[in-house]
Amino acid sequence: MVLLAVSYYLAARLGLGFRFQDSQIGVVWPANAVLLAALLLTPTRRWWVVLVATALAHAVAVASVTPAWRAAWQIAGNALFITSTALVLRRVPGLPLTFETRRQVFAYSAIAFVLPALYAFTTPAFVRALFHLELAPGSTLATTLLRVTLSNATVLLLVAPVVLLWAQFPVHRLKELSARRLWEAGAVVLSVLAVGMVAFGTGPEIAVGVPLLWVFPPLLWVAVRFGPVGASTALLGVAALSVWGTARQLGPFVLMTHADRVLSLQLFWIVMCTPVMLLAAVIWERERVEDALQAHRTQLAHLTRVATAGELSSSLAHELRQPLTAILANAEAAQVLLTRDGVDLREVRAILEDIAEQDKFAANVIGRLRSLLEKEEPHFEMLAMETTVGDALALSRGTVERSGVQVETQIAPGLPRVRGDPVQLLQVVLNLVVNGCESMSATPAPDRRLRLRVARQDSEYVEVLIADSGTGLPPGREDRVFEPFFTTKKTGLGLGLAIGRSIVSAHGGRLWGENNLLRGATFHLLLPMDHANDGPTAADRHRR
Amino acid sequence: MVLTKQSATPVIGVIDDDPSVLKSVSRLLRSAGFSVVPFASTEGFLETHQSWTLHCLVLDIHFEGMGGLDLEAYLADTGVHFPIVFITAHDDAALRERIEATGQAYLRKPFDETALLDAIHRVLLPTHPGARPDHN
Repeated sequence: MVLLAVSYYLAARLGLGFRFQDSQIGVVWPANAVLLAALLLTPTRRWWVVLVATALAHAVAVASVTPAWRAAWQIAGNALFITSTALVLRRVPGLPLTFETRRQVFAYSAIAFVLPALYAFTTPAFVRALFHLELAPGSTLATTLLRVTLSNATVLLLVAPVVLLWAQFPVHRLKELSARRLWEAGAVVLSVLAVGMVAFGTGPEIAVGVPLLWVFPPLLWVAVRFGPVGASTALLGVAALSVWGTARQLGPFVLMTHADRVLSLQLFWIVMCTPVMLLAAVIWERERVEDALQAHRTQLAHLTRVATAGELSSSLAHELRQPLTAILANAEAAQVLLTRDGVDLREVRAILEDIAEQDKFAANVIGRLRSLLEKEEPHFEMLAMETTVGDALALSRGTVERSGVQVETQIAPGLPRVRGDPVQLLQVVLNLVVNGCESMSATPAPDRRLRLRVARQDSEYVEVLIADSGTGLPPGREDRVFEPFFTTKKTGLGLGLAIGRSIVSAHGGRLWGENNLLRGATFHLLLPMDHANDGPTAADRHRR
Repeated sequence: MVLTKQSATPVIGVIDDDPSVLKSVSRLLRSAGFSVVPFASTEGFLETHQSWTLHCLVLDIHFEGMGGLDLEAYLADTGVHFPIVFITAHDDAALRERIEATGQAYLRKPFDETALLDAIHRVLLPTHPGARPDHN
């Protein structure tokens, strides 16, 4: 509360500073933004604390410049205005107010025009003007009304979002920002400053017209890249620069009479605010949708991986039974050897070495299975496709063997690495291998061949080619197998190839299938090489 | 477990394409007192003249190319009937029944020494009664 009172006091002093010489109406009254933010962030039953604290701060802040009756009127009027605004905002756009959706920005902007207009009728300036007690020179009742309205609308549109958003901002997130992001933020601040100085800090003859438009590109940049928080802050920055320039008799606004100058400044801010905030919200919404989509895709990939692991379970059991058989046979052979006179220690040592090796082999099988089952965020790294193909064949060996399929693998020497997520790419290749095997169940046993080739396709791509001699793809509609839930198998979700294609696209590669001339289908998997790290040595350095 | 003195040591052929299984099973059988001839493939077995001196086969079912069952069928076609212990890492109840009905043995990996030796003696018994282990 003390913090609130102090912020309110400072904002009120700032507002007094923004008052143009001969008028009781401030250009902006930022203290109202502090009050509004405080109300929006406080539960209603604690509002009285906020109102008391700000009322006291108001009284102290304006004591030296405003008669007591006027200060009391201002306090009551402001409290009524901001409380009602807060109540409306709680209902219409709803809390929390993040300015991250179009709906919120629209609703907020509308409220920020309508309520100040209604409130203007109750301000001391208007009421006194109404009764001809006091009228600033050169102003009429209508202009007084307009000026009060705009002044308050400016606060709501320009200042309140900044106060509110920064008050809600999780500060710890600033520490998580990457260096690149910080550089970009620095660059954008500099460009807003530079453009603002040119637009508002040069002589009116130069500034009028074109330079004023220059403030928009940096504002758009902020809106697109830094969301509502960045956009609202930059808008306030531009507004501050325009006040700074105008107060120094510089910039485009000094060409007008004093009253017009204030009005056009306010109009300029208001006109600037809504579209930029709206743009920020649209971009933000879009990015959230994309993030959600990406998260779903990751989740789906994981689910299909788990399904694949389930389908492979008998294959994996087979993979574990081989080393277990060897370990058991070795151990029992050693037991027999040890009961004999003149134990052949060399042979026993060889047996123990074999046992250790087979145990490691079994651990590797489990490790590969775990990589399929574990739910990990995708992470890209440099990898060799021949390793991925080798892992996929190791995981599917049981399936391959049981299907009676002969596998021929052809790996070109000196292949460049690709950048990718090892687990997801393993999933893709594994899926293609298992599909290939299953498509050949009706093929006569001697003809069941699965051919894998890993080679450089051209200077851009590494190609993994997987050819089977099975039933092939639906003729004329080869691409249908990539549609979700399309399946020719008795079991399976029909998601493997759809997910596979989305994974490969996310890697900047391509995945497609075509029928062979004689029998079966060939799948082509293209992945872009990593040019940044040509050659294995560079890649190894990168890894370390 | 020792073999009776009066019979010649039976010679067992072990055929498995997994080198670790081939080596360890051969080792186990040798430690049990058999003579063992290992083969890494069915084709390798057929190419070796030594194969005709064997008394029994311990034969993996799944191979690239000619599988264990294909080999048995081929041998049967040529009039040779080996006692065979089929070994496999796959679960297949139907196949087990089919194999055991013909008097051959079926072992799922992993198997222990007792199971292996029992199976060998079971298939060997009709042709080599002397190979029955002598439980003292």
